[in-house]
Amino acid sequence: MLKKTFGELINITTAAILVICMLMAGYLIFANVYHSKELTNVYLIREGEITKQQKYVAEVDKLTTKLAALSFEKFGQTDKKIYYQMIQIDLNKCMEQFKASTYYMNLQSIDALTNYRLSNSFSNNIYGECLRGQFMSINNVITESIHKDEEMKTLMLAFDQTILNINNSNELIRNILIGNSTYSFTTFDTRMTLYNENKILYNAIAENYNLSLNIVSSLINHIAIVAEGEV
Amino acid sequence: MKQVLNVLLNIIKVVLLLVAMGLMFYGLLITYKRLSKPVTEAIPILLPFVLLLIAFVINFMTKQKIVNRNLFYNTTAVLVLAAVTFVCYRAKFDSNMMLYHKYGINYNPSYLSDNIGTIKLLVYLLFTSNVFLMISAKLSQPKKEIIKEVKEDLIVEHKDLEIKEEPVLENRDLEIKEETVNA
Repeated sequence: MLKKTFGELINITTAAILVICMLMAGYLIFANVYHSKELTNVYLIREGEITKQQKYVAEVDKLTTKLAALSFEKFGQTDKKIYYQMIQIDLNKCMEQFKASTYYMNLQSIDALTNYRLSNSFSNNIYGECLRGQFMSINNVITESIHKDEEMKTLMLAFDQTILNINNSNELIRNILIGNSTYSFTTFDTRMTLYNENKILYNAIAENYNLSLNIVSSLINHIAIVAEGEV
Repeated sequence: MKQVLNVLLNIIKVVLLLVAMGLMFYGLLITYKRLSKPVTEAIPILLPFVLLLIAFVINFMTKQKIVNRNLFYNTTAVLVLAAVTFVCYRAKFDSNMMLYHKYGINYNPSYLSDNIGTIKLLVYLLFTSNVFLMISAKLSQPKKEIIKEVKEDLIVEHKDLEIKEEPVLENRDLEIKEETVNA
């Protein structure tokens, strides 16, 4: 009798375990299929954004030409000439980075991987090389040179906080992108947000590129006014 | 039909177990290599797989009908092992997950480690239910002594029946009998 009861108890337990296993495995498969499908979502660039991209590319070209055309010969062999020429060299290196980024600005469709590469490229080239590297060099020129340009100094100080904000924004975007390896079944509203993630992040990254370009543009305009060699 | 399905599921579950074990071992090897940790530390993760493989081998060797012909168990085992294989497959091949690119090893160890807990639990549960089914089969088996007694009784009865039975005469025998009576 006891043996029979024990046997039945084992049978019930086994059935319960198998039901739990089936439910958990089913959940794991469905959630993974759902997540995998959601990650393949591609955002197609719309009309308005294409115009923005074209504007950005045109602005980069315009600034590169303007910077190359600047001449400080009128200052003769003075510290002032060396000062602006050194800044011009640093800004030229910056513009090279912006020129390289125009490839991403010509894309027609955006997926998560493109956004990640775009964000990484911004972090390494625009922020790392230009806004940190070349700007540090410009700061050194400003502090070490005999020639004093107070307006340039004020501009550089004003941009410090903006550059920091741009970098924070880019770091946040990268963290959001890295977080796409986790998943769960979501509500309709959240799902819509996830589907729009590629668009939102792409626009945020593009905004960072534009802000950085504006900073460099301000400096180029300033030295262009000084040189009176505006093209 | 049910038997054919069971045979098919039995084959699939063994194949899936071997594939899942291989993919899991590969993933752990890459992860531990990246972290410069000894692979021996991965034994507790691979242990449930080894136990399940041993259970499957025992099922096959001892012809455990209660497990091999259990459609519910076989379906669940296939589902669980398919889920494990799918997770391991995604960790290696789903490049849309950004963590895949972060470490520069063309593998997503974080995704795998997120799922290892669930995978271990599922495989342990599968192994436990296999063992329970074996115990259940053992408990429902009558004792050897009783079987022996019943066997002996049956033999005696059979012998009695053989004695009581009249020999069946064929046509040829009947003809010979008639001729003898006539004579």
